[in-house]
Amino acid sequence: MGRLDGLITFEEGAKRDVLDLFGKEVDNEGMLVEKGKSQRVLTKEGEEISLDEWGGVVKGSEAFVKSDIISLLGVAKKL
Amino acid sequence: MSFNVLIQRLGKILGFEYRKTIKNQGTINKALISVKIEKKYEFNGPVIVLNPTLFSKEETARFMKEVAAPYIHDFKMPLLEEKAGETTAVLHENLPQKKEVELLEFYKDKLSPEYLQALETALVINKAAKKGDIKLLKDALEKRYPTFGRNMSNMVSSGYFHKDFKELYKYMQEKGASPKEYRREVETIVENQPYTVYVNHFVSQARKLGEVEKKLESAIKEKLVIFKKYGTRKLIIHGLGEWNVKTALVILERVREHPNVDYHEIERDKNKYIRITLYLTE
Repeated sequence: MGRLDGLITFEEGAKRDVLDLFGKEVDNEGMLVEKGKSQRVLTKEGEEISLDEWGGVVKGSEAFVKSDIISLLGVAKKL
Repeated sequence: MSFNVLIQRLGKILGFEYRKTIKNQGTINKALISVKIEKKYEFNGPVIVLNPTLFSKEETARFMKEVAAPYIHDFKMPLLEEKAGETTAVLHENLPQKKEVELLEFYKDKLSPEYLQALETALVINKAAKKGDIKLLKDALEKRYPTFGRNMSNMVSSGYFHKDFKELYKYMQEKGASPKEYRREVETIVENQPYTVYVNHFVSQARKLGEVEKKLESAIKEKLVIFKKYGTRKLIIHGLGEWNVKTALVILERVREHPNVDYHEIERDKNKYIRITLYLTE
């Protein structure tokens, strides 16, 4: 287990609530969209994100990241 | 700005006294958002657990403006799903240092971007292996790159990228091969790793010829039986350099009569390079 002090995380079960805090929701295809709109949320790489894939929010206009290991390595390198 | 400042702000928003809390609870160094708790917040050791679904509208707005936004933008920290957070922490602890950075630099213009990303991740996983269980990380790399992620992890930990592929580059460069050909060769070996025995790899582990032969012979025989079982039809033996080419040929003599070997093909450049393909019986 790695130690990274000062980290805020959220449980898997709180994903939709955290998205709600950021003005996002999940459409009927399971993809992240702007709340009340059909506009899909994109990663910095321009990829759409499903709720399952979504890993969190990082700096940069509330950039949404996926939870795959390459995306997380990118996050770790910026810490 | 430190994390403590954010917790102090949180105290003002949700109505707990920061100093009193620290005195009773000790240092708070993590926060977890959970919808399972029945209070707006509670303490669990060094972790403050928050349930924003119980916050008032005003508390939510202040939480976002005074805590979440500064945490992400000023503090430059990620707000991550719990498991993603744990993974990120492990990756952060094992980021490439000088030795790994040099290795990545060597492969920078030689591998495709995907392979380079996977190599970097595998180097991090390899470092993490010295401190704990890495199964989840290896699984994650395989999930991202199903065709070669697992092999990449195994081959990095076995030293292929530190030694064998560097030697292969030197050999192919002398032979006049293009960078594209080298990339294709490495990627083919990585993707077919379970079906490949790299003679040089064993040399670093056992110096005496007898030991090397014995190890290779048993490894190859083991693979032959396994592949036969799963219907794979070929096993490749690679050797680079005079000593390894000769060893590969000695090994061939010993395994060519194996009941699972149908026939074999040899691609050879004098004593510089050899690739023996063993085709298995139907």
